[in-house]
Amino acid sequence: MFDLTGKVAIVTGSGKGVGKGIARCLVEAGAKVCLNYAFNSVTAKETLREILDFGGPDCAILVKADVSDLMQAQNMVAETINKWGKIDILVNNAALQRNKNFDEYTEEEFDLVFDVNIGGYLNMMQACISELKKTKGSIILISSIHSEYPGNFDPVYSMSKAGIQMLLREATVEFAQYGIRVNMIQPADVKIEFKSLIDNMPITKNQNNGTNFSYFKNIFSKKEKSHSIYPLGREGLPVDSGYLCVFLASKEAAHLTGAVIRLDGGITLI
Amino acid sequence: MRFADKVIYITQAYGKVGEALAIKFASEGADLVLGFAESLLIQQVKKLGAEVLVVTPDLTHYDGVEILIKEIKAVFPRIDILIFNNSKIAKTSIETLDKKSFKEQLSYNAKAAFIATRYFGKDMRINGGGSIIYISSIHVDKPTASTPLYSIAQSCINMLNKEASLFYGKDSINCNIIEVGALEGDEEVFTSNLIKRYNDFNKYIPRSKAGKPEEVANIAAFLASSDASFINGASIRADGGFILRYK
Repeated sequence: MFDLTGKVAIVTGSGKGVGKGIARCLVEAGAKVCLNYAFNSVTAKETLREILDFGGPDCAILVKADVSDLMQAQNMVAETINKWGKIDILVNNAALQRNKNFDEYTEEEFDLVFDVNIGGYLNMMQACISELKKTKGSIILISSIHSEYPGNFDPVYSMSKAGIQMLLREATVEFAQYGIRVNMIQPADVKIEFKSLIDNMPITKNQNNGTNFSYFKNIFSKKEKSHSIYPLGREGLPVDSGYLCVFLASKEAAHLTGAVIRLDGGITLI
Repeated sequence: MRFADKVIYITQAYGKVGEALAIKFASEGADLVLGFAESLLIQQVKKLGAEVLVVTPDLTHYDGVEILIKEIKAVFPRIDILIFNNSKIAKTSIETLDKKSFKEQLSYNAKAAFIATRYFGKDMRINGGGSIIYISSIHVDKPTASTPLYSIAQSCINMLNKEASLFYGKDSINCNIIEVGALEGDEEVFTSNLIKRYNDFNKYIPRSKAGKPEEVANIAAFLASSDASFINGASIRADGGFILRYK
């Protein structure tokens, strides 16, 4: 596994779901992680406890911040600096969708999706940029296959994710002069509704010589796998994005910037 | 006269491309709803035989488009073809842009596209079909390194086109996008300190000559015509091959 020992990361929207899986993998690779949530404090606090149990008492903090507000984004960065003194990795993940099509979308919903999904990513970049310049850090944008493939269930979500794709490319060119790399992951459907991410991953840093992927057996039932429409037989997991983030943030990915990596089990090719 | 009896709405009927579009469609028999058109253009298209309504709506809000549709319906029975041509460019950087420019750029360039699609798509569905064409740019793909909010908005439109082509395609409404490259006179907007080739774009276009607005209007006319009835959700890049050069 790629080593992130001594690195400090912020993962937005990591109270649950994909962000939680990313935080967990960064911690497994040795990084300290600022977890973030905007609304659901009960779930987020449970996530913090799980991550601390998993990675040790000093591996994570939890900050409440709505990233669509620049001040709150800046505050989260300040808290991270206060705790660990630097930032090496920014994972922009906090996003939302409304699952409505054209006729049902209200104007307020449009604004909200753009303010969070695009504005939030921009705010976090601005809030972190001076720190990332010091560390020649890495920015990872979590997008979606719907930045390229229409989903026909939420056009505004797709628009916002496509917007992130050009944010990626603009940021790549603008920040390259500072040695900052920017890359993007496009996950497809991700299974997040199981009880506990950590429970399903009993491997700890002390035990492992590389990650034991047999835990997938516990997550997807036989029936689920045989009915899967995914060429690889299952939809994504939060840790799929997580391990890719570990690589993207690692020194081994030093020449990789502006890349869009589709992480979808092959689903968009069939 | 491919567009006799057709009504075409061009959201931004000024600037090189907006004017070329209006003249092209008028010369092929269309009646026009022109957003923010200047008097010289109005005279030109009337001379070509077009019936013209000039409108100045706020496309960035739902109620602005609701008012616009009422205004149009008082003059024309329907809109057959929507050409979204909004384009507002402001130099900035990711590091320094502010909330105000974020809102302005994305609203005018992308949110307005969504709202126009939503309302005119609904109307075209009731009328039995239509065509929506987005005039976008090569910056759906290639960064500007000088106007990030503009390119973010263009890529939003890129996905809007794909989503709209699925959603409205079943109602005989075709949606397509033209990705325009450097045109004659673009020296002002096509500059960047970080991507040097933009400053000398003619050199990087294989034919060594920037595009003419009429070349864009010709593609729009084709896409809007019945000849293009099987083209839906497509992107046509009109840049002379500029984008394919990377060094």
